Amino acid sequence: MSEKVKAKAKQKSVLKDGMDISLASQMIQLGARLQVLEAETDLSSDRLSRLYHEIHHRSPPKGMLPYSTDWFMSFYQNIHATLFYSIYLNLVSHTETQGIQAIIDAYTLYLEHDEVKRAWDEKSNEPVLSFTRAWMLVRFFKSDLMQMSTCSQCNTAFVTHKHELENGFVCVMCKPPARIVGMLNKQTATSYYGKF
Amino acid sequence: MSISQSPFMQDTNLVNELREVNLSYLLLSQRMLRDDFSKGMYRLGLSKDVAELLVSLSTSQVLSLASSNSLICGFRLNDIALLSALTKDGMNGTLKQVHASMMLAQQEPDQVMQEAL
Repeated sequence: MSEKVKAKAKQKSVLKDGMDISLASQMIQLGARLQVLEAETDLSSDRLSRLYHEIHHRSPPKGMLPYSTDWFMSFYQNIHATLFYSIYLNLVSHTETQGIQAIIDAYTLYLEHDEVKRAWDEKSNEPVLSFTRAWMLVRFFKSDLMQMSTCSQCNTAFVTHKHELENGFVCVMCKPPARIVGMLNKQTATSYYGKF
Repeated sequence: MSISQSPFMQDTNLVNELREVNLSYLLLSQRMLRDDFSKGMYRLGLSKDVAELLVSLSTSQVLSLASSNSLICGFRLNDIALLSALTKDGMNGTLKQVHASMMLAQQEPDQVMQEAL
């Protein structure tokens, strides 16, 4: 019995293989790490790293995935994460795009935003929210580590830790931290669109 | 001078421009939905039923729809709390822009009016 199952598992579908490769190359172009690709496709890590090399002409970054949920709570990071997750939720709940394709689509829609382009980090050559972080965020929501809390002032939902008090929650937009307020006041004197 | 003008001629310019907006809205939304259905639905804020109907409209149907004398696309930020949050001071333009994007993404899509049974 078990041999039969094994034999079946070994028989790889060519079509599935091709779809996996196109999915993986889409994600690599968006900056996904190898661990993400391994989780979402059936390709071996060897082939994935070769694919990565062919697209970016360098070796994939090593090390652990960014696993902190606290990262999403600071000012800019929270806003970027909320924007991405709102788009993702919209796609998942109202359209037929689901799963990893919804993450890819939501991420490309997130990248299209003007304000995201303005926030591009020149040093790491990445937007504030990288594809890997976005993927992790969706996983955090799935494993119930985070939730969307609705702000009592602007009525918009924001990414927060699980069990955040829902009553009287005020978001980072309505009540920005003091250092951000000071920075914004300085900026509005010089230009309308500031750094974000 | 104004007496010699026909009373029917006065607003033609305005109506023409309105029809143009209608037509470009319909054509653009059809193009967006054909390009990528899900992304188009997100950008337009339409529900699946409306989006499917819109895609299937023929050119003549689009033209007759567009020639209405009033605007056929609606304002998506018609909520007082929402609008006042977007126009308050103390934020730079970029932050307001992001806030608006979030609100639009979190909105329920426009539904087809269901007939009462």
